[in-house]
Amino acid sequence: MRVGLMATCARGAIGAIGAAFGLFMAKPALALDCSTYPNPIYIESGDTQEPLLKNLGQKLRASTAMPMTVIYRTTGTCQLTDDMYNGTKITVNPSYIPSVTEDPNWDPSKPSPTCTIASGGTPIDVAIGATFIESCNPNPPPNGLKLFEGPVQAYGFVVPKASTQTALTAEEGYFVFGFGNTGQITPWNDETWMFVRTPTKSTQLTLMAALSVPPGKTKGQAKDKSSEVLSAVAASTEAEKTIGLLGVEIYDANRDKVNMLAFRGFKQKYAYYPDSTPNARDKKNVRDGHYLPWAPTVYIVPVDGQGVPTSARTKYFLDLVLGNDPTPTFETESLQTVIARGLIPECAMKVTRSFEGGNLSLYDSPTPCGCYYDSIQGTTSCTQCTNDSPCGAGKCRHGYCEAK
Amino acid sequence: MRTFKVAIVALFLAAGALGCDNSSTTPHETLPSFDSGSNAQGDGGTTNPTTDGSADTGNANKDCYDNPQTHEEIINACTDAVKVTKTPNLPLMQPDGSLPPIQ
Repeated sequence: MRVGLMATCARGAIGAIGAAFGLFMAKPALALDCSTYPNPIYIESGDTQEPLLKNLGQKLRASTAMPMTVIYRTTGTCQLTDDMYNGTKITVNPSYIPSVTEDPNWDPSKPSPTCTIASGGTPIDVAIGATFIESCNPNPPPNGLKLFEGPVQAYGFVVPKASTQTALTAEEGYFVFGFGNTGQITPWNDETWMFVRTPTKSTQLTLMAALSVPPGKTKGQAKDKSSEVLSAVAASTEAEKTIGLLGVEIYDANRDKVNMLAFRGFKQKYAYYPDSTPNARDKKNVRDGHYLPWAPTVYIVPVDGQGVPTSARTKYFLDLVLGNDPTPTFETESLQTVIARGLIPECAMKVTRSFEGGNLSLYDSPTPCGCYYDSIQGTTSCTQCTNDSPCGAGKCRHGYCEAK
Repeated sequence: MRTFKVAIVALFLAAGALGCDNSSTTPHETLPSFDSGSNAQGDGGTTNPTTDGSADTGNANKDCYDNPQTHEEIINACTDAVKVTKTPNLPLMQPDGSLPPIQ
């Protein structure tokens, strides 16, 4: 009897200890309702823009001027265009940018946590395409929506670090991605080791336009996400045969894993990297037209009859990305975040194009920021300023004297 | 002129890094000079092509364009950026230099 009682007590004690232990163990927190976060802005975006969303989103959560919670879902440019044009709501639990208080250990290099979307879904405040929207839908946007051209996004062809390849010509690319196994382009003649995207993704649309390959006829192993291409190329056991399609800003954040090829377009004499050298990050060749595979990001925004965003929060976010001076003044120079993520503000471009893969023409921005862009990259010979006085006939913009 | 250009291409083919394929790829930081037959300049700058001194030779003797205006001039404009020469082997290219249709 005494032994049985002791056994029962022991079991009870063990159970109690176990329960107490369970209470002290960190349980997975239930995702909060997205709408409970302060000043949410709901975004659908191409995944190449995620670095920008995370970095800018972190600053917005910490802002006292205009605190905002970026809540986002990534998908292909053509899908988000369709969603926005048809008023489709976000119904899948999205990611959000936490505050320092919510997660002191989070930074943009880490995956974003998710929140619970409202039952029935939530309307998209702004959709961010990573290429010309006309590549997905040639029709003008529906009434009440407007397209705003954002920073320029470049794309490229990546190979494993062990690959000896340094360049790809457009003619080679035509055969590699248009013919695959039968293209007879050494060493890229095995579709097993060619990692591409799907035809709805901006990465594929823009890169195949540079090769004159129909995006729906691209040969290779289709990956849904940029991260999957990156992983596949980096982990390849056939370095010479491997090639993948990737956004340049994704490459910039992963230069230790893959190399990017110089690219020679049709009618071009030499191949060029996006940057002036393989190790630079200045995007010089994108800016001046020597590097061809690029497109503007495009922000699809609900607007009023005058073309002004109907949401003040959305307008503020857009002003930050476009480098306009938002009101109230933001705590940091937002263009710095854009530039640091490998994107090129339109004001720093010297060339432009009007459609996917279209010919380039010279561009002279009405509000240039080339001096500021160069200063972020490390060197500029421009005069610093706080007002127009030292700028002569020019104008002080973002702290530097520009030509106008 | 054409013979000279072929000689330059051959020079790069001979000097370039050869991979496992039949193409050659040569990264270099200067453009070849198209004057009396010398090749790379040592200062890393853009080419200083010799001209006949006329105001506008139409870039006939140049490897790049100093004042680009059109698409083709822009993408071939003079620059001090690293440029890579590549002469790919394209077995399926049509005899007239055009690309076959993708099925």
